[in-house]
Amino acid sequence: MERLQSIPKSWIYVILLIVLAGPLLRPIGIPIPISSDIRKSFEAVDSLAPGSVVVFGFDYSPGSAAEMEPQAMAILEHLAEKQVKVIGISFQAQGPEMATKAFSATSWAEKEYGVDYVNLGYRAGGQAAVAAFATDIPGTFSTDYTGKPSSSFPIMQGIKTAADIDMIITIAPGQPGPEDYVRQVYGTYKTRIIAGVPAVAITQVAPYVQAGQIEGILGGLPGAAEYEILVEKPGQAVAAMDAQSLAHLLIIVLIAFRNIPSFFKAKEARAQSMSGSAQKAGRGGRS
Amino acid sequence: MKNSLPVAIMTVIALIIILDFFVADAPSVQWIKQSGLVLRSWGIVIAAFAMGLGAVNLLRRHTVAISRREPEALYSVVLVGSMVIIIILGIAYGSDHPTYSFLFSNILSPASATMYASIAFYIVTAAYRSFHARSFESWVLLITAVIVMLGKAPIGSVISGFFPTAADWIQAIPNTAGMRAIMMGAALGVVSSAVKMFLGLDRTYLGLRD
Repeated sequence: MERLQSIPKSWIYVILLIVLAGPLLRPIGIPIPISSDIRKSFEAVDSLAPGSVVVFGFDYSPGSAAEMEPQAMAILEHLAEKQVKVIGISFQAQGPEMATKAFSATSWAEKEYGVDYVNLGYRAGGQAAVAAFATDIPGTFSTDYTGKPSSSFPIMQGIKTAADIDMIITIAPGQPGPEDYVRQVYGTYKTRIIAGVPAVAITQVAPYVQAGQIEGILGGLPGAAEYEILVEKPGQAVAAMDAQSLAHLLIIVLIAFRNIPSFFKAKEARAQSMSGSAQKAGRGGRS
Repeated sequence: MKNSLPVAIMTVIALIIILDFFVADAPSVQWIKQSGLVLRSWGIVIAAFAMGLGAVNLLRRHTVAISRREPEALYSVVLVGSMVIIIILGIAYGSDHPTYSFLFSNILSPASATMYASIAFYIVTAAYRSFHARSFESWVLLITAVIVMLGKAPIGSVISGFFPTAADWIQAIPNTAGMRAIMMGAALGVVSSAVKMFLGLDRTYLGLRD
């Protein structure tokens, strides 16, 4: 029983690898329920009229792409279907490359660059850059990702401040992220915001969602999987959900292994001490 | 003068930025709006310079490590080499050049993704080692963790509808309440720290103790 409490690290790594790789190679097909948060986000995007202008913040890097990219792709597919216009921006240095990848891997590849969508690239400065973007979009992003003047693109005509934007969607694992958009954009312009964050950051953003400042939130890979189901384009996230479910089960089993022996030992010790004190009481009674 | 001038500049700039947030779009206060706009664009330029400074500092640090043949200089060679290649490619041909894209997609992306994915292995072993319940509080934490883990994965709803409902409740009520308290506390802390800076009581950002 005590062996369960000291499983070598290497064994755990191998077991986890098998648990993750198995369902990726041979999916089980565990049903994925749609949560109210994802449905709310979907309905918010769905309410956009054709021709609406959406700013899409590619605020993630290749490091977090495994969790963030499926969210971006699922929402981009929905936006393409809604026939809205998308202005891609980034406050994360590697964001423009992530935007290029996401646009070329979705239905946006068939749309016209500069007319239907544009990739305005990266601006340094974190929250200060978000504030500058809100008040002066063409000034802050004066060129696109390749260095062409942003004013030369038809999609940018009439876009001056965040008030000219119908919705902001930010996919951000850290700072600058949804909180910065709330402080600098929603605070002044009341622009609608949808946020995609990693599962661990949901708690950080939840107060803004409950306050109505962020209209919808996608959390981690499950959020992306649910959105993929809603847009009827199951992709990477849906495929990874079985693996995630089994990995969570593995963690729970390991935690049980760690605690069950101690639980029984503590129970045994309690029983022994109780019988010991009963014997003592018995002896005391006789004397 | 040496100390009071930077404090005065900082206070004026901060007040303009704060006023810009609160004042209406009226013609009489346009100068505040315009000043705010200019100051924010300066902020972006300064941030860009800071990034450049960071890159130069990194290059300097690792070039010195290579020239001194420090024990782990090989890593410095890899870092300096890849940094120089990317900088030259980016400046000379732009970041949309096929070679730049190739290096980004085939070296940087997989390497970063691998680093991120390897965290899963550490999380599992850390959970196994640290979730050892010895007290009532640790049992509460453990049970909560199990409920949230099951509730936030599709398997939870297959086992029982209780898990997603309970996980959502834990996240929306006690968890968010705690987070909100932390955020409000931090916000008040920021306000008080800003006031101290305006009044010149806190000058640590100038490298001064008192």
